[in-house]
Order: sequence, then C-alpha cells, then structure tokens
Amino acid sequence: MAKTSGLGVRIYANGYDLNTDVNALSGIGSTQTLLDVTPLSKSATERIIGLKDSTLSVNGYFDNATGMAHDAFESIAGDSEVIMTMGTSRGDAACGMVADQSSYNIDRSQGSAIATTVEFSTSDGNGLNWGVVLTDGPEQTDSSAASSASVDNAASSSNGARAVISVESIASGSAVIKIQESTNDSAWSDMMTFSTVSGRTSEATSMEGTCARYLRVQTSGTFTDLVFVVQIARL
Amino acid sequence: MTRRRSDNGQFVDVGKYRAIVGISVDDENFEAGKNFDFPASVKESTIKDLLKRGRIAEVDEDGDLDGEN
Amino acid sequence: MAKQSGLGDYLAVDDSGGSARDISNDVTNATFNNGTSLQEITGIDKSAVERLQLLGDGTVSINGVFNSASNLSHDVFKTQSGTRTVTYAVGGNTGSNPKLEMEMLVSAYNLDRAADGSLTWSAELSLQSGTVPTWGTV
Repeated sequence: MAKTSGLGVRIYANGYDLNTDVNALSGIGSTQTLLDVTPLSKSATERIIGLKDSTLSVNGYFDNATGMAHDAFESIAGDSEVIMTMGTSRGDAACGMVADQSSYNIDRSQGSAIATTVEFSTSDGNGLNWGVVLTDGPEQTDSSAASSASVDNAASSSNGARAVISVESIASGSAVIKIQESTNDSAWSDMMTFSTVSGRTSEATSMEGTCARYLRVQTSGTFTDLVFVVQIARL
Repeated sequence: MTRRRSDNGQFVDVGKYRAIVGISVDDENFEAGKNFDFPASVKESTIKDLLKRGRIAEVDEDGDLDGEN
Repeated sequence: MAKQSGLGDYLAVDDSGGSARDISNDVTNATFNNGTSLQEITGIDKSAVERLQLLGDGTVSINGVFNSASNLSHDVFKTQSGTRTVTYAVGGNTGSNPKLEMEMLVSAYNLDRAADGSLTWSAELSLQSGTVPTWGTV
C-alpha cells in the first residue's frame, strides 16, 4: 500500500453506519501530555509521557430518516463504541475507541444543507487504539454462521489487544461474534468473545498476553444476515 | 474419536484432548470445555503448539484432566 | 554550500520499537523548532536589554499524507510510546549535509479526513532528553 486518499475512510458509532451522512472527520488519533521533568543537571528540557487523550470531530449533514445520523446522535447517552477504518478492505488500518459524545450541534446557514458537528472524547481510560479491521467492506454481512478470512500480522504480539464491534442489524435470531487466533492460519482458538447480539449494538473488550500471528472473525449461532464491523488493535 | 467402554457396556466418546477455549480446524468447531480429537490432517507440531499455549489440554483414558474426578 | 530549497531533504523518525524509519516521502511539510528560553537580566545601569540563555528545547511538527505501508509514517506514529530519534538532513542523508538530530517524545498523531476526500496526518514531537539540540552534519 502507498500514500492513500480518504475515499475509503468509514466511521461506525454505537452500531450506526454513519457513512452516508458524514462528510469529514478530524482528530482521528490521539494526543498525550508530556510532563516536564528537567533536573538541574540538564541544559535543555527533559520530558516523560503523561496521559493520552482523543477528541474526534464528526462533520456531516442532518438526516432524520430511521436509523440514520439524527437517530444515532440524539439517542446516545453514555459510552459509544466508535470504529474508524482508513480503507474498506479486511486488514486495512483502523482505530477504535470508547467515547462519550460531548456535543451534537446543528448549523442552519443560509443557502446550504443543515450541517451537523458531533464531538466524541475518549471515556474509558483505554484511549484510541490503532490496529486493523477484521471484516470486509468494511461492514460485512454474514448470512449465517461463518468463519472469515484471516489477517496476517507477520508476527505474534505480546501486550494483549483491544477490540471493538459495531453491529448494524441482524435479520433474525442471535449471533456470537468471536475473534480467533492461529499460529499457522489453519488451527484456530478462540481469543476474544463478545456478548450475544440480537439487534443493533456495539461493544469493546480487551485481552492480555500473546496474540498469535493470524487473526480472524468467526460468527456462530442461529441467525440470518448479521451486518457488522470488527476492529482490533494489538497493544 | 477415542472411545472407551464404560462399566455398563456402552461405548463413550472420550477424545484425547479437552478444548480449554473454542477450537476450530478444517471447518470443524470444538466447543470449549468438551473433549475432542483432531482430524488426521492436523500436524503434530500444531497440536504441540496449542498444548504449549494452554489452548487445549490432554485428558486421561477416562476423559478427565489432571486432578479432575 | 549556498542558499537551499527544501527539495531532496531527509526525515527519519524511530518507531516505537526504536528502529529508524525514513518517512521522507510521506511528509509534505515539517517545522523544526530549536530554541532557548531567555531571561531578562537588565541592570538599572543599562540602556538596552541584557539577557541570559536558560533551558534549551526542541519541538517538531510534521504534516503528511496517510500511508499505512509497512514501516512508514503510520507504523511510526500509530503507537505513541517510546523515545524517538528524529533526524532531519537538509539536502539528503549523505556526506556533510547539515543534520539536526533530537531525542523526542510524540505528543500527538492525528488524521484528518477532509470534505474533499483527502486523508492527511499531523504529528507533534517534543524534546525528551534534556540535551541541547545542535546542528551537525551527516
């Protein structure tokens, strides 16, 4: 992959696909406070790392249709799970965070569509974490229980992981979404399991320790047409 | 699947391994907490690796883990 | 050497594992601030300001185009931990070109997906080491 445009960027929040109502995103990422610890013996500033933070701004258009942006933003109370992908293919760079929505502002200017600005600030102490998207599309539809293709990290990692799912809909039944790991891309073991889903939802979860080189999503249960996105960050 | 003949004459599937977490291989899924055998296609090195990482454990001839029953 | 454009420059930043990565091709512009606090010590007998140099400092602001290819700018900044060697060589990373090298910490890495479809990033780093930044040569 080379330098890319933002044409493949997608955002999902609280189970809502916002991509037909959002036209710009800024602050996709994080800052960290740097603390001044300069001792007498130094002639220039010495620093250490302090707290991380993230504030995302989402700009878009007002949309009052069922399941669209207004439904998403006016209903949010408490933590939102937010996934942003930098491309639409499985394995593309993606970040995830649990955030609180701090504002939903409407701008009714003369001669333009009603514009909205929403701000999310990370809220659970885990910050925004960069990784990859494990579903393809990136929003994927599993018509029934399925194992997805894997994403190869080229090596295992040892500091645990944090994963976020955003579920848009499920036509019938209920499903369990799991992330599985493998050292050889053929024998898989369950690594992270999300709560059973039976409708629009989102969830974030963490694990500690080693994640094997290959990761994939597996859905199980009796259901039809699960529409969902899964993001994982190796820490 | 490894089987043993129980006291009442029934043959019971025991399996050589216990899935500590869910295991999937060759489109077969083995539920966590249950005993199972790997398909013949699975290499010895793969099984050793899953044992080493604690994803599966060996069970005895009664299908029990060390210290169970 | 005479007055120079910024064409052909070299910028490398360590990733979180400490390996130097040449991210020159991902960077559209960068600012290197290398300054010193000044203390005013003007005596009442003077007609112009007297000053002393105090603590030095360094900050770097980098802007670029998103690139998630292996070991380039996204890989460098996606994790913000660790001290990073930042190396800037004017005219390229070759013999006797002016070079500024600092040990720094990342304070921000943010992406911007603008309404025109572009995806750009900005990163900020500040001096970590307490060592006064000095210009040398490659």
